[in-house]
Amino acid sequence: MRSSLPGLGAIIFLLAFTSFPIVLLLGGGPANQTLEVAIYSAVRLDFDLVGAVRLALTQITVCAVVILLASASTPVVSVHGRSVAPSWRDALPAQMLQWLVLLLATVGFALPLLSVLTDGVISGFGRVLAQPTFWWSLATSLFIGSASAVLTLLLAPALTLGRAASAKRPVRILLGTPSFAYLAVPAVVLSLGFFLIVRNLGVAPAQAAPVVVIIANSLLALPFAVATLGPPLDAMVRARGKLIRSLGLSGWQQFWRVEYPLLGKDIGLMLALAFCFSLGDLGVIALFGTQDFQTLPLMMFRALGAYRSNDAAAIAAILLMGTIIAFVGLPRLFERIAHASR
Amino acid sequence: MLRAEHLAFAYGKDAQVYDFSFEAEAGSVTAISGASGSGKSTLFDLIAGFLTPKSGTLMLDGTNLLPLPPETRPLSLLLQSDNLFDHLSARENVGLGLPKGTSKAEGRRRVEEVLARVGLEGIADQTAATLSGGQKQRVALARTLLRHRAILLLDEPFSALDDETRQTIRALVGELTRSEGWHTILVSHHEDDIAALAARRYRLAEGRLTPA
Repeated sequence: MRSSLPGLGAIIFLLAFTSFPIVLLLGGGPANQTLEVAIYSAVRLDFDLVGAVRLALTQITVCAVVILLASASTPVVSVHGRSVAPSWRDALPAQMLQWLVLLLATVGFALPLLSVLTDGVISGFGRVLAQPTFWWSLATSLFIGSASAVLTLLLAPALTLGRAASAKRPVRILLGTPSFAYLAVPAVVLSLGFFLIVRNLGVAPAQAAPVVVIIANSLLALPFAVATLGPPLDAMVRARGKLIRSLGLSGWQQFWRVEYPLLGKDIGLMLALAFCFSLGDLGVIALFGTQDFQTLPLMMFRALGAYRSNDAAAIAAILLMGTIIAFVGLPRLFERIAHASR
Repeated sequence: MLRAEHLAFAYGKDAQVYDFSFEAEAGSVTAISGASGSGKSTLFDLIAGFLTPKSGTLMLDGTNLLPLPPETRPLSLLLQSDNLFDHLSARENVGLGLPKGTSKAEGRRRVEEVLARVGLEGIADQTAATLSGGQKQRVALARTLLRHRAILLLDEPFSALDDETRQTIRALVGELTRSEGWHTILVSHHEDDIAALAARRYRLAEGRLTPA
């Protein structure tokens, strides 16, 4: 366990440090801003791009230092394949403490979600569903989520398999970098980067918005996608890599006949992760969204800002239900399709 | 004739240096034995093309095989296990050895033919996961027949089999080697297998092959 703690601590710290939607929604003024919210304010409210870049560089530097420090400690030993539960029994006080921690964590996680559902149901969906902008935002969310998920599906296996198949260390490092780099790059910082590129190319941000949001969401989901798909792909390469190579299987034939039937459920889980990640994104859309291009999270944020908290609650409940359905349904759907294709 | 001359390899700057030289004739089995860690797998990977030697040659009837990647080398592999894809049927596994462009009808006919040749009539539609160890090795051999490659590389192919099945599969390998004219290279540390099959034998020790 000890070797895992620095990496785990770094991830938790980074997730909190780069928190954007929660701080943005809860507000509290400049005194309670995080760097991410300050970057957002600099771009959208003050249009101070120089200031925004300065803040972004500070953000990236802190994240990079944290990751380097965590990496410099004892390397994490990764174990691929299914984990085996220890067979010893903990003492009663230890068991009670574990149950208490689990209970607190479950309550802490479930209570906000339950209150979203309850408030949303009580507020009633009728008013929100009657707004044309809701349906347009829903369609946009579904389109962006699907496109991001598909792009992630193309990138994650390509990076993982390319890395597994390469014997050259620099190539392995290069192909492995996107998998963890975007853990250190917060959504708003990545969006700012795209914003500056688009501006420098002379393209209006509103025009570039759909493409940028899809690409950015896909990149941000990549670490999680690789973490989901990586171990089973690695295991497959270890077990049958030589056979696959000697038979000359490659490309579509290799994917459809070998990888997809074995990885259907994992692919479904990866798609669900990427889709839900994009569905709930506020960090990227916050910089690129407009009145004509908005997703459900942005619509919810605007409703909150306009003191239409009932509408915001209804939209949040719809988002939550959509996320749960996607997260539970997609892996099962893909597992079924994989079984049918065998 | 398959001939390797001073195939040199090392895993690192201060690591053991391997220097392999051997000959293998068509239609016969050449065995390579050695203790665990002696470099048998390294030699296997060098012949198959999964590792690139620092120097040396690997010639098949005058053609240098070293520039060829594994998928285009004229060889087939038979490993100790994981020779098949468990989710595919025997027919589909064997069918992976068909040349591109083979029609469905022709492919079906040829698959049935080679499965019968290895004594597996009637199991074509069974999923590989349901086959016994011996049946799986036969299916893998059937696929090898379809591929028409000149070299068969065996890496401890009988280790996971019981004694009776082992003898049967061994006999099948010997028979197919002779009838198909394969240059069969058997990498193994089992004396019984070597004694039963090998026409020529090398011992691997300290990174070198010595005729035995």
